[in-house]
Amino acid sequence: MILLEAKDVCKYFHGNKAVDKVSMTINEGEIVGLIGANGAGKTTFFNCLTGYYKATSGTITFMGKSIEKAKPHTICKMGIGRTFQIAKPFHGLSVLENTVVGAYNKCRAKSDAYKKAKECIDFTGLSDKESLDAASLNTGEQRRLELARALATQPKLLLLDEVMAGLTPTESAEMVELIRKIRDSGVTILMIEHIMPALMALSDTVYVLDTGRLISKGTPEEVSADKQVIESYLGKSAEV
Amino acid sequence: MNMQIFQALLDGVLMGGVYALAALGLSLIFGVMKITNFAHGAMMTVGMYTVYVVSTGLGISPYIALIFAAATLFILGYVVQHTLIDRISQAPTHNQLLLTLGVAYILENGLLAIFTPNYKTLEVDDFEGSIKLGQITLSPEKIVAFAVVLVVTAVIYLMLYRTRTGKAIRACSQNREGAQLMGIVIKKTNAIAFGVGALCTGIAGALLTPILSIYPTLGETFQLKCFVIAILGGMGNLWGALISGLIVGVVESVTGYVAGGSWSDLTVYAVFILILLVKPSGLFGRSNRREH
Amino acid sequence: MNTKNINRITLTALLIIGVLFPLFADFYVLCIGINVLIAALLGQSWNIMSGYAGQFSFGHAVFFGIGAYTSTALYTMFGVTPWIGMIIGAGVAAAVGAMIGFLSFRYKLRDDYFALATLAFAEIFRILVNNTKSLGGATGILIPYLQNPMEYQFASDKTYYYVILMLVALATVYIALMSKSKLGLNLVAIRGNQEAAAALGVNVLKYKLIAISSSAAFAALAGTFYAQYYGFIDPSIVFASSISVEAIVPCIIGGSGTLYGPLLGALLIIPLQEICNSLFTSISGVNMIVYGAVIVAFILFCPDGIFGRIMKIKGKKGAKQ
Repeated sequence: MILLEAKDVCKYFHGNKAVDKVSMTINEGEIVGLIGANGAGKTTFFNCLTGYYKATSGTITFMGKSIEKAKPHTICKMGIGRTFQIAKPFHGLSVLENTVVGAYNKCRAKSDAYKKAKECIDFTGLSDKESLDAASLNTGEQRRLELARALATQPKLLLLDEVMAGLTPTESAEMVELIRKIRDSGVTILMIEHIMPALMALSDTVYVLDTGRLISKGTPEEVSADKQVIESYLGKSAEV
Repeated sequence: MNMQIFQALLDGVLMGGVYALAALGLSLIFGVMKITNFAHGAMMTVGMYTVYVVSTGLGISPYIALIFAAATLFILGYVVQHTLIDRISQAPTHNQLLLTLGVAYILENGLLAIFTPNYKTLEVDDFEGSIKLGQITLSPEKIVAFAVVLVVTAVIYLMLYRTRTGKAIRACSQNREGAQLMGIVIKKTNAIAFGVGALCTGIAGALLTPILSIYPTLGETFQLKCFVIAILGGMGNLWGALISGLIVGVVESVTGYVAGGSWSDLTVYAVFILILLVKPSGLFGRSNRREH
Repeated sequence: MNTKNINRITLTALLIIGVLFPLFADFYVLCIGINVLIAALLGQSWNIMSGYAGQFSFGHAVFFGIGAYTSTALYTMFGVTPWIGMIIGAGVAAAVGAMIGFLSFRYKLRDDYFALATLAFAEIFRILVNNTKSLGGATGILIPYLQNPMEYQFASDKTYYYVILMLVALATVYIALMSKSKLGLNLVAIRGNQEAAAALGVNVLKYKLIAISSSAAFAALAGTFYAQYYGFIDPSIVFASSISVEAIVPCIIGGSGTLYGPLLGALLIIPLQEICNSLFTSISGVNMIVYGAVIVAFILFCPDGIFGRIMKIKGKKGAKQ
């Protein structure tokens, strides 16, 4: 079943085409990867999907409903969760309270919200930190908190913006496992990632952006064999 | 009737020039340090009292005493930035705002403690009477003030565009990290920029001293006006500040003439809120508003 | 000792001191106590919107003034008792707050720009009232003193004291309940990062409006009390920027975004000013120099305020364990 469908999404900033006619289809249960060099428009595209930017043109439908004009919190209510490239923990709230903010997205009663939040914290392995102020977490823990919060909103589709950036190899490996676990729990995932092995191991489908345009899509194998992709993206990083 | 409007217009331009100079200083400080200086009005009053004290004490013309005011304010601004604000350059903006507010209280009430709340009027004998052009009367103090504003502004522009320090200040206002990489000593440049900004408001105060009766809280009146002008012109945009100063001077003077004095402030603030809401980058574009 | 216990002990101690205080105070000291509580109420009001929700207001005088003028005008013009006027005033202030908030937040004003906008709104209201003859214009309104408790007028300052104590307690209980509820968590989340809060389904605009409206309502209660206690208001008193500052300073000293911070802050700053006044009777302005110096000192050396600093130290210890 198609969960999200973006058609010809464009986003211009003062005439610059940050995202240029990008179309994407995400099926339920998939992990979809989105790659591209810095400035390729990946995060801009995320922001269009989640209501932070209004797409200049194009349509976005989520579970049959048009969302390209919806506000971020409405989109979250409809079932799209997201994390940010730079983790944004709420200082002054404990890890648990941070997660409860997300849990209130679907839970009405306080007890339900705390129960859901605790579940998500356990799931992401932060149980022993739950009463600490979120400001005291390290980078890896902050990423987990981002995930826990987003999961607490009970999304159908989860957008992950470089959740592995800045993590140690061990932490990344744990994160890969965690993302698999999330998918297995029934959440569809769209992820931006720079760590290629991780992305290739996880994704069912990969989309490649270059200067705002979609230049390739397919299975990880297909994409990594695509000449254009190698030239514009993979090749460069391989040379480095 | 028409002549009176014309009179209001001219008065507005002349006063607007003085506002513009003070607002130029505010805009410069904001442009470089991203700080809204709530002590700007109080610093202006310090300039006024410096002129008053030097002029009456030494028996010299206020327009020579003005140099003392400029020097005092430059040092004051330099010291405030160097010893206080610099310590919290990484703090949230509202803390920097509050710090300047604290400084304002100290300055303003320091003046109050020394000079009492009583009005002081400077007797100026440089000019005799007023200048009459047909039905229009112009006070020579205002004309001289406007002329001085033009000269000071020109000097500041030369400083900013021709000298090493000036170029460093402009570099910092455009790109801090870049400037630092180029070997500009940020701390010193900031202090000089704040000094120059304070000097602007000090000279503006000095120029107003022969025109107004002064008292310690007088600067408050001009404080918000400076904010209005600086934002109207685009915070950090110095040309914008100058032009907006003239605009605000004229709007104030003309609405004051048409509708009465107290309504002129209302118009200015209403325009202010409108600009904040609709075009916070000001009328003339570039603003150094912090991005999140 | 955990936070809950500390909170409980602080609360009990504060209540006992607050209730028993008038028994030991002479007229002069009681008057200072009342001023402490007015500052505390203003501080708690500012605390909701700026401390918890992080929307820095520099114009709380507008709500204070609206509270004072609404109840006073209703009383002197229509004979409505200020007890009811107080509630109407709170409602009007909340509505005006929502309007200011809607305009500012709708157009995404933040930080200094939002602070300047609130400042300008307060000035606009001051000038408007100044030019409204039916509201007494610049000369203000003198409230006839009838000593009738039904009219919010009391023979003894002790009664005034207990009334403002009740209002401060009300505000404090409101914040205590709020801070652990969905509302409070959402406000702190918005303070931390609006985009991230929205990504978790928080309707940012709605919650900011709730914050500014409830904050405005409490400031208005302080305004009505001020009018009834002093019996005289004019625009340059109740819409003054010094009132806006008086709402901020207790929070800076005690710790904004903390439950008891503003109470402690008010308890320190008002008596300090009084002491300065009594020490330097011949020189005016010394108390305000000290006021300014206290602001500077706290911003430089203790920017989180006293309670904020304590909580930070505790948080660090917790992280190490």
